[in-house]
Amino acid sequence: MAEPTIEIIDLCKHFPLRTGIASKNHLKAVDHVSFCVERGEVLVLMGESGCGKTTCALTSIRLLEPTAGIARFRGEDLFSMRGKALRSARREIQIVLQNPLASLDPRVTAGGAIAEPLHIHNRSLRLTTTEIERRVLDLAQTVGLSEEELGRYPRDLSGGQQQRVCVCRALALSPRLLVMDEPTSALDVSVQARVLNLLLDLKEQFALTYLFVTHNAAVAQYVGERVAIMYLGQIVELGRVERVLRSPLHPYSQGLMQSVLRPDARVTDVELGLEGAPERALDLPPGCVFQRRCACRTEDLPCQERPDLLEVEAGWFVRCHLYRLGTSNPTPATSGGGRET
Amino acid sequence: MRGKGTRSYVLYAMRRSPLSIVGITLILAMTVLAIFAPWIAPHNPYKVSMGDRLLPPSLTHPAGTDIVGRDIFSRIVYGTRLSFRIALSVVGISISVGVLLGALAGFYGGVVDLLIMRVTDGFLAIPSFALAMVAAAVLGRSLNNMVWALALVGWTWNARIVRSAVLRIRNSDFMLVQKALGASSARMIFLHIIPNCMGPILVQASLQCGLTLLSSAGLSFLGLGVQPPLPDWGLMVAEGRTYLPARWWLVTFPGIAIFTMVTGFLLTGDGIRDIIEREVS
Amino acid sequence: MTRYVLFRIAWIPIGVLLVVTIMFFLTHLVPGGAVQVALGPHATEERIAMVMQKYGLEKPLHIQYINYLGNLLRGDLGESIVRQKPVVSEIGTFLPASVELVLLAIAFIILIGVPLGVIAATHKDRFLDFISRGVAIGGVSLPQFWLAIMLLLVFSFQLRWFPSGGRIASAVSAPRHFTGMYILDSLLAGDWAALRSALSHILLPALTLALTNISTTTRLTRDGMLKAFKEDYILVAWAYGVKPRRIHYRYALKNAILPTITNLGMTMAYLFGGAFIVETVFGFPGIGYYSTLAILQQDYAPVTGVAIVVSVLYLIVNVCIDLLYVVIDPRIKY
Repeated sequence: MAEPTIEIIDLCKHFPLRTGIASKNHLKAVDHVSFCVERGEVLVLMGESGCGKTTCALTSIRLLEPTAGIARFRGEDLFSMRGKALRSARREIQIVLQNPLASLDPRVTAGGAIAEPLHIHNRSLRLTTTEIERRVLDLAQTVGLSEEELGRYPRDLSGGQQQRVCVCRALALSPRLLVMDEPTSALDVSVQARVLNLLLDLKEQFALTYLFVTHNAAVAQYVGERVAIMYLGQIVELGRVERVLRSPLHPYSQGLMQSVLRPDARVTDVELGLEGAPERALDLPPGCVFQRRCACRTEDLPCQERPDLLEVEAGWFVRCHLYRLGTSNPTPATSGGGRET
Repeated sequence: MRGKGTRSYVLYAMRRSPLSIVGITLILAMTVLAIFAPWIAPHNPYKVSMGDRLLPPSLTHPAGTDIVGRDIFSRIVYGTRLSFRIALSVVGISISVGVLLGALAGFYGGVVDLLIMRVTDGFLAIPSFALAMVAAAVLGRSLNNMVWALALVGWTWNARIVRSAVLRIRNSDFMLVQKALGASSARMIFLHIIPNCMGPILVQASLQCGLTLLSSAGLSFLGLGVQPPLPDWGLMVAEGRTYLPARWWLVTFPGIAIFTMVTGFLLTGDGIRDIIEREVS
Repeated sequence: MTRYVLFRIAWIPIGVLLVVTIMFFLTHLVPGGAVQVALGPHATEERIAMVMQKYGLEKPLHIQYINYLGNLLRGDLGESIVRQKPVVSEIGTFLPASVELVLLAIAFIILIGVPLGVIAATHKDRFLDFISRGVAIGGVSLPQFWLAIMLLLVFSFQLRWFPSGGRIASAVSAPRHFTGMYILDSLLAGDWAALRSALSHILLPALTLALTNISTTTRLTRDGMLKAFKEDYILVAWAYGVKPRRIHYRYALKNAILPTITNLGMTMAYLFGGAFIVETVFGFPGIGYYSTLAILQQDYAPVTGVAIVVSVLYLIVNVCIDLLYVVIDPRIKY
């Protein structure tokens, strides 16, 4: 099997908090998360606000410093690189964020923003000014931006155009991995589909790999090939999109998918499988992270212990005690070898 | 890097803020006086004429003469040069140091920030005029030393404002992207953060010119700043003070000059601030 | 919460330490210069050496610094070289006058600045708005020493309404000493002659100080009210039929006052700084007058002492304001 583009092993991101003079608590935004993104695929990190998906995505590529863990990229650990090696690795991982206007320097034109990565790395690229211009125009064409639009400032562009500039900028250095954090959430619904289609086309055209963060199940279903559902800093279910979203196994995933409203006039009642109020990661229960809201709790389940992420079927992992007993092949996956833990 | 639409936009914004127009006009007028002083001033500002001492305002001496017969109006006109020189020097030094330290403090945070901010707090806790007085006295009474003294007091204000402007940008999505692109710290600070702080910096520069002028006039009034025979307006008030209340012109006109120029700077600064705030909202 | 309070209070000594360090090293750049000036041009070398030794001025700088800090902890702010008197007692004599002056100035600032801000806000972008803002900015642009002289010219020399300097007429004796603040003391003692005299002497200086510092207050009040106007609850009050004036004063102003109060801490620092010039021109015997004279004589212990005292006051006032904030605004939690 080909090596995955990036492999995240046991990633932790804890934020220290001061809750008293002496005591120190930790906000475990990301807690022992492992996954990998295969070459050419779209892995979706899905979950509600506060589950840690954005923190997870940003920490995985070291835009936030991790508390613990390994990120294997191009055969090396991204977290222990420094200096030139790190800079060179950074060229191959790019990001597109939720709010395009906030991601652009208001004093720089669209064309200037797209050219910037080329300027930053020009010492190794050695491009002339005309070559840079040429490249910017080519890139702009692939995302559907006209030359006239390239001369405008971000505030004179629509949301969709701004986001396309950001995507273009991210592509300028021909990255391997693109991390996208809710890239369409801030856009009008009619524009969202266009941008998503564009992203899919670009993936085909340039053989890209995506790590895609979203809270929207419909978006996840549309772009994703595999999905990892997160709850309070942990991955609770991971598998192919059509399996996980259509027949989820983990109680939280089930509750989540039940809550998704469908524009179907025949549906008059939505049965919510999630009890209790949304939780925050400040106050985690010991053991299974979902136990306080789980409708499936029974006496004989060891909810005080943290369940491992087990492979229920080929490529389908669930972190839940319900599946540990009675499963025909409960193989706790090992780290390394390109598979999830 | 500003767009083509900016010029008309600025003019439009200025029409909405008439106070800034007044301010800019005053400064421009003063600039004209400074540049064309030799042609505008009727007499030599340094020429002593013992026969014409303490004359009240007249056609030949629109602002009267002082204790050694020098034409006050001419001294006021030449004084504009001195005032610009003082204001621009002080603000130039102050902003250079302040912007750099403020940007570093805001960008790097942590220990650097703590250190710089504590020092700034220390300076700010001391009444600024007192500090300026002490510095001027310690360094020796001269124009140049006064400039350094005022810059010593002024940089802290610049540092604070730049720091908060930087902090606002520092945590934005934009900086995250820059980091992902592999931009170096220097690039982020000088190409992106500081240019985007130019607005507040410009406002500050203008306001600070006005306030510096007030302080320098005060210092010179006390004898700690500009020394005779230079035509500093504060100095002129001090020189004329002993001849009050009868010879009111010795004190009134220099004061009006200070007032006019300071108002010009302050209004301009306020006006720029209004324009920027409109642009943001 | 208590943690935050303790934290803030703990910073005060550090702030003071910074102030002391800055002032000390600044004033000791010129070793012994004060002695020269203090003793006059005819002082003999022996005399100078003797005085220098008395004050430990020939010791290396860091030793002097440590000695100074040590003395400071014991409450000793050094001595004025010129007058050979301890700074602490001199400050004690002069401080109440300045405090009185600053308090009165703050009263004036609020009485003049806040209404101006309200007028500016309620007549936004119309004539009165510009006039109010113009007056406020005009105030700041006036050099304090010049305004002082002009006020003296008009009100003292021309109209003879107010005396031209000092703190109390020489014919009137100072009221019984309770706080050192003449107005308060004469009220407490029922000494009307002293009260009248003290008031007439302090009015012009306080007015000068106030007029040159109203612009910030006016601007903050105006901005605060404009912001409050945009809030939805103002619209609700108006829809309910509450009279506009009542809206202005009860609802909007209350919220606009908050930033003004915060700013008062900074204003106090400015005022103490501005007092230096005002007191000097009016001959008003406060700490500003005291230290300015000392500076001109290159006698730096007084001004260092004054700077320390003022900074401590400033830091304390700021902490108090922060704490007040927590009380006033229930939204703020630490």
